[in-house]
Amino acid sequence: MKRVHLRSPVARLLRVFLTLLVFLCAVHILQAVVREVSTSPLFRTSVPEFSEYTDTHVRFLLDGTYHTIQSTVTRQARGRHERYSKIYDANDQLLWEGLSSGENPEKYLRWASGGHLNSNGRWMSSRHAVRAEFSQALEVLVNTSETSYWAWRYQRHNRIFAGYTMQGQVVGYVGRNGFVTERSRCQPFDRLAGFLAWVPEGTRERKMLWLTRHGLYQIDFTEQILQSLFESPEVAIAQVRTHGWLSLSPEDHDYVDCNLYRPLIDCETEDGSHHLILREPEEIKHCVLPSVEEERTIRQTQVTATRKDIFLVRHTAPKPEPTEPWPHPWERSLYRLDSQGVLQEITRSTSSLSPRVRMAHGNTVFEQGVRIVSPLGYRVFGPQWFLGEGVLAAESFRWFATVMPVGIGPWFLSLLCVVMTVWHAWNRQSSWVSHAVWLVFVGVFNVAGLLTYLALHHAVLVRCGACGKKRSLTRPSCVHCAAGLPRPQPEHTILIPA
Amino acid sequence: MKFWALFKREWRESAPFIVVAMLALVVLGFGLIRSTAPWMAAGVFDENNYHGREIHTYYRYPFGQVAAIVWMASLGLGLSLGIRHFWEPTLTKTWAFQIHRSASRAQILSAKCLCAILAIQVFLGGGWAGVYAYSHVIQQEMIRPPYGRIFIDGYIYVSFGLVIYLATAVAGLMSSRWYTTRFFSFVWAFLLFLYVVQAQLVMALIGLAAGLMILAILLWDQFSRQEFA
Repeated sequence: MKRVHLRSPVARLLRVFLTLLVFLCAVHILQAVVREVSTSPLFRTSVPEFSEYTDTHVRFLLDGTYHTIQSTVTRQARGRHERYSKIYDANDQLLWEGLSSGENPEKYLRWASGGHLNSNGRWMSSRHAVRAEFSQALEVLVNTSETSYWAWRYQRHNRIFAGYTMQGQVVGYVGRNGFVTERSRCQPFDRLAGFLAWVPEGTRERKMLWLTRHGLYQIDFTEQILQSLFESPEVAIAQVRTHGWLSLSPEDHDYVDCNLYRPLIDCETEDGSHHLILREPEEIKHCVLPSVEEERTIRQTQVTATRKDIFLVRHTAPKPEPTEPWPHPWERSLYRLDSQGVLQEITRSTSSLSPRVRMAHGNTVFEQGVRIVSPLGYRVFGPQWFLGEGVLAAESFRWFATVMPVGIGPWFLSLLCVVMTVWHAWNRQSSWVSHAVWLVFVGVFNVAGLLTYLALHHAVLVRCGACGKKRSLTRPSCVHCAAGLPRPQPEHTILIPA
Repeated sequence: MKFWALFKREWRESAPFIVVAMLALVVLGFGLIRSTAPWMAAGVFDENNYHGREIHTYYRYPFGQVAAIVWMASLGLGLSLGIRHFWEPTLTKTWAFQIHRSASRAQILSAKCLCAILAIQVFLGGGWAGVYAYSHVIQQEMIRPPYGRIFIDGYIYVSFGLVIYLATAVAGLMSSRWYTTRFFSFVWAFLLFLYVVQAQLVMALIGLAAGLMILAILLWDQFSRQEFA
C-alpha cells in the first residue's frame, strides 16, 4: 500500500520534469531559429555601414626593425572588400604600395604558435565520448617492415602507452620514465593537456610531443626514446608554442624555413615565465617579461628565434577593454633576449584604427528579444553552473550564455505568465498549496513553465448547477460553493420488456 | 505459472521482430566489416602520405558505419516491440481481454517487459557481440588487442532500444490526445539519445540508467492507474 502512495507522487514529479524539459527544448529551438533568421541579410544590422576605413599596424622584420603598414579597406559590390596597403619604414619613408592580395615584397617575422598541440587535449575528450560512430583509440603506428607494424595505444585510465605487435603481443610500455618492457616499472604520465604527432621530413620516424600539466615530453616511437624537454613541478604549464620544431614538409601550411629560424618550443607557465627550448645548438633559456602598467592588460605574447636573435613581442590593451572600435587598439612591445638571458625592449608601437562599426552577426533587437522568453531560473543555475568542468556536455551548454535573461523583459513576461496561471487556475484549483507551488514554478520557468502547467492541468469547465459559476469537472466539489457534481434526477422505474 | 504462460505468449508474438532485427544487424554488420577491413588495412601501410606532416593518431577500426546499424536495429526493435505490446491492444481495444483475467497487473506488465529485455539485451546484444568478435577475425592482417571500449559503446546503443521500448509503452498507455502530451516520452527519449551520443562513457551510462528508471516508473504508474483500459 505504501508503495502505491509513493509511486504516484514520484511519477507526478517525473511527469512534470519531462514535460518541462520538452517545453524548454521547444523554447530554445524557437530561440535558435529566431537568432538564425536574424542573421539573414533581411534583418542583419547594417547601419551605420562603413564604405571605407583605414587601419595602421606594425610588423617586425628579422633584424628587429619594423615597418608601418597602412591598410585602406574599401567595400565593394556584393559584400566583397578590397584592401590597399602602403608600407612605410621606421622613418616614415614609403617603401611599397599596392593591393594586399598582390605581391608583398617584405619578409616579416613569423612567430611560434600553439597549433594543434594545445587543442588536441580537448579534442581527445570528444574522441573518447560515446560517439555516433563509436569512440576511438589514440594510437601511433610504427612500421617495422613493409608488411608489419607495431601499434602504440594510449591507455587513458592508466595514463601510459602500451605497444602491441600485429599479433596482439605486448612489446613494451611508455610512461614518464621512458620505454620499459614491464608494466610494473612504467610510471604514468601526469594529466594530459595536449599532444601532437608527426613524421619529420625525409624520415620514417613517428614522433610525438606529449604535454601534461607539469611537463613536456618528446616521444620517438620508432627509436623508442622518450626525452623530457621541460618539467615544472611547482607551476603548471599554461601554454606551449612551437616554431620550426617539427621539420615539416615545405608543402605543409605550418612549414618554417630553418635557414632563417632556429627550432623553438616556448613553454609559458602560469606565473608568466617563458621557458624557451631551442635546437641547433640545444639550449634552454628562461625569461620573464617586465610587468605592464596598472591600466593595461596583456592580450598576447609571441616568441620566435631567428638564426641571430630571439625575439618576444607582447600585445597589451587598455583596461577595461573598449567594446568599440573593434578590433581594440593594441600596443606592441618588441623585446630581444640577449646572450645573458636579459630582455631588452627594442621598440614599442601602437596600432591606430579608424573608428568603425563592427558588422553585427545578427540583429540586436532579435538577440535581445529571444532572451525575454528564457527562464528566470537561469539567473541562478547557469550558464556558469552548466559550464563547470565535467558537468554534462559543456560544449552543448554554451548556448545558455547567449540566451541568459537580461533586463526587465523576462521579468515582465514571467509576471504575465503568472497572471495567466492565476486566471486559468481560478476555477480549476485543487488546493491553495498546489496553486502557490505552480505559481512559483511558472514564475521561475517563464513561458516553458506556463506551457508545462497548461499541459498538465487540462480540465474541462462546466457551469455549476448550484451557484452558476464555472467549475472544473475533475473536482468533486465546486470551488465557489462546495456543491457536488449534478446527478441525474430519479425518474420512474423503467421496465425493460422481455 | 501464469507469468510464464503470459511470457511465452509475448515471446511468441515478438519473435518475428527479434529475428528481423538480429538478421539486419548481423548480416549488414558482417558485410560492412568484411568490405571495409581490407581497405583500411591497405591505408595503414601507405607511408607516402605522411612524410613531413602531422599524422592522424586516432584509429577508427572498421566500425564507423556499423554503429549506425547497431543503433538503428536497437531503436527499430524497441519501437516495434513497444507498438506490439502496448499500442496494438489499444488500437484493437483488447486491453480488457488482457487485463480481466486471473493474472495480476504486475505479472502482465512484467511478462511484456521481460520479453523486451531478453530480446534487446540478450539477443540483440548477442548479435552485436558476434559482429564485434567477427571484426577481430576478419582483421587478421591488422589485428591488435581488442579495443573493448567499442563493444561497450555498441552495447549502450543496444540498450537504448529499451529506452525506446519504454517510451513507446508510456505513449501507448496515455489517455491524452496524440497531438498533446502523448508523445512527450518520445521527445524525452530523443533528447536522451542526443545526449548519450556526445557524452563521456560514465555520463552516458548514468544518463541511460536515469532514462530507463524514469520511463519505468512512469510506465508502472500509467499501467496501474488503468486509464487506458
